[in-house]
Amino acid sequence: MELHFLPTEEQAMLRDSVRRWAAGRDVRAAGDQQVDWAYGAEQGWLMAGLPEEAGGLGGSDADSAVIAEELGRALVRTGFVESGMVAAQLLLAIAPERAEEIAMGGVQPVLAHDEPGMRACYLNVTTRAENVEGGWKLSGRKSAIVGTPTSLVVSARMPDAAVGLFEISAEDAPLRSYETFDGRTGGELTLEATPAELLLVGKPAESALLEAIDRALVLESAEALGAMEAAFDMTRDYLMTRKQYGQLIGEFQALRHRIADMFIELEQARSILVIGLGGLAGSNPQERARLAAATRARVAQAGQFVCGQAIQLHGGIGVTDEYPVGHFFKRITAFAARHGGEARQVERFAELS
Amino acid sequence: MGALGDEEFRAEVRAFIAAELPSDMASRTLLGYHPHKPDVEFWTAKLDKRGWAALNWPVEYGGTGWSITKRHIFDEECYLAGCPAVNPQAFHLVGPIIYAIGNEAQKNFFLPKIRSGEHFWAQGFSEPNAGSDLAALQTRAVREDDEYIVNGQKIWTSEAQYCDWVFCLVRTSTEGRKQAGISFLLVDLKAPGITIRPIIGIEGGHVLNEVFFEDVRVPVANRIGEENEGWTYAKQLLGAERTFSAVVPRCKGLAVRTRAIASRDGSKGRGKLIDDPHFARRLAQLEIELMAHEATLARVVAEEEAGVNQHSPTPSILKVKGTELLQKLGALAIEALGDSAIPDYPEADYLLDPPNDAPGAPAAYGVVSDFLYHRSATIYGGANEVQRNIIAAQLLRA
Ligand SMILES: Cc1cc2nc3c(=O)[nH]c(=O)nc-3n(C[C@H](O)[C@H](O)[C@H](O)COP(=O)(O)OP(=O)(O)OC[C@H]3O[C@@H](n4cnc5c(N)ncnc54)[C@H](O)[C@@H]3O)c2cc1C
Repeated sequence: MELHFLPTEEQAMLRDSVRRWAAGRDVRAAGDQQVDWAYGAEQGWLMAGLPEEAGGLGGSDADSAVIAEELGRALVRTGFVESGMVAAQLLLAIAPERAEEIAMGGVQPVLAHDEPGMRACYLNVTTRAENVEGGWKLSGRKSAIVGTPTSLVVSARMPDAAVGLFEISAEDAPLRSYETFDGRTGGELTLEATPAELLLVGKPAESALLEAIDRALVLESAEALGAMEAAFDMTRDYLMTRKQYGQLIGEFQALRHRIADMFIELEQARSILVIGLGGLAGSNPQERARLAAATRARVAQAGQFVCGQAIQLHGGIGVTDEYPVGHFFKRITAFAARHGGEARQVERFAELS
Repeated sequence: MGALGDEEFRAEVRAFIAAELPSDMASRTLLGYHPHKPDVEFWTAKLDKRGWAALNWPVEYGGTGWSITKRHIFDEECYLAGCPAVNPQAFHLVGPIIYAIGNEAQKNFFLPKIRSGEHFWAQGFSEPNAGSDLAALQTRAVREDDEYIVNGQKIWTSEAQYCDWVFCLVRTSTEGRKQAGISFLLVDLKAPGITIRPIIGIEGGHVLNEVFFEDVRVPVANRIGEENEGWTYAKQLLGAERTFSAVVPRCKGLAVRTRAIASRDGSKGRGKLIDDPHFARRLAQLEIELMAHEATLARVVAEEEAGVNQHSPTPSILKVKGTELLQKLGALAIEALGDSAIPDYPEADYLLDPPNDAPGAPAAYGVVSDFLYHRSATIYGGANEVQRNIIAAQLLRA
């Protein structure tokens, strides 16, 4: 497996440009997701991770990760990872003829795969597809759909028990939207014989789905890493400005050790992401899944510690809505709750080893 | 069985709660959102009628005179049954100061009004630059005849928006050690010159406030004890509530709730998460930690009642262990909820009667909000870092 520890020149430029764009944002507010989306599409963020032959910009998932990390730093709520980097690429792989529409951001797909009790047993799909008068109808419940989709890519079990991937336009989807506790747009689908277009079925559908999931596990981890970095930086600055007992709180040894531990964890997260990206670039699906699970688990572990302690070291100000640090903690808490949680990803890693 | 025994008394408390606590109030409280004042008022009045409101006070001041053991059992039963908690600042903090140090007039005026729930109290100690270093406080009280003129700012004042009075530490002298020039004042929150500004928490709730004082006139008669002795009284108060900050009932409630969340059908595949040995084991581990923590509390209580081992740093141990356990249990509850943890469950909409198409799962209502709020548990009441300093200082004393 080839691992890339240093950013390429292009990646460094990409990082700077996303960071510049995100710099003025208020991390506490969602902002206008449609405006963000249009900007990102124009900048090529949706296609950054795709090779040219697939309609992309000749990049890789490592490029997407650079963008994701910066988006995480600024707590951008818009589903660039969920829609642009995961679902759009999945759709593109299935329907290459739609490349232009997808690349321009004209469709904002979200993968509706998770189900309430799935807990990262990704092939335990219980949503059922039935063939009724030549068309497909789906029944079941899909949870944790993050983003503002125009189209949903829905997984379901075919009458012969194979996995099928379907598309339902958001207008026709019984999508119940809600605000997530970390200020994003979430949704749930309650499908009751809802008509859907079949995209792909059987082994090809299963492997496309599993690849998309691994990509989500790793690129969401990159976003989480960005959020941790921002919370860390803020805390480091705070230790060097806040005074109690006539001295900077960063002079208290207990807090010096804590910030050192936070940094150690942050670096572990940064490193495992390289591994996860190496897995995505490789050609062995089982190894890719194993490393994606490892990445997700390790980043969730590190993120909960770093962002939790970021609040702790701020004292009272850290638990206020007005101060940014709590918002990073909320993002990480939501990140850690999804995909079965850290422990479940550890278990997956063991299962795949 | 709780580690503290006394099953007969426990049964009596249960019977009282069953007879008096409306079930909607219980359900609302058990969700884990911040208490509603009308509920607290209602329950305080019920308790007062039974003579059980001031459970931690001596009999002569209308308290129960119960042993610490009995108080703990009572607290635990109330918590697990979903009784709204009485205003803690009044019953646990200022009440004991008033009967221990206040004069007769203060005792006669304030204590009955606390017991009945007529007066809710806020604690005005912290300031923007006086948090852990509380003695650095700068809110000034200048004597003018039989009044103090108070100017300054308090922050993190829990529940001030619905309290009637605030007890404050104020600076009455700048001479000598900074601890030496502090006085303890009781201030009517409706007094002219007081402005209260809300601070919204990361959980989205309004508990915290800033309280500004601009030429607020406070009668000297509302000073507790002697001028410039306030620090001594406050220290006495901060050390007094040994059992309260151990949050044992709250941890127990959360452990029970986490087990229930993981026992839902379909919480893992078609089965239950609790049947997953990996999960069950991690919950069990926290339950064991909680058992040891509760036993530590029981041991401290036994020692205290027997008057032995007074100088060990156990109060700080109880605070550190209890609050950290609470946060770990909260994280496990969220893990058990999985995807259902993700929606924001806004309190007002979901209290008891969620809409039919409500997303997520009823089991999740209030869990994340409670978890987020309790990130503060390791910060307030003496941050855990400061508690560890206290433990070490006591252990390493030459
Ligand atoms: C939810 C909530 C409710 C509250 N309610 C009230 C209330 O009703 N009334 C009231 O008066 N106050 C209240 N407080 C205030 C609370 O007591 C203070 O937040 C607390 O004392 C910490 O002070 P600070 O926030 O200024 O943090 P700081 O003191 O600035 O602490 C920042 C960080 O530095 C660490 N630190 C500070 N000193 C040391 C040291 N010597 N060694 C090692 N580490 C150190 C702290 O542990 C913390 O991690 C409340 C706070 C919260 C969060």
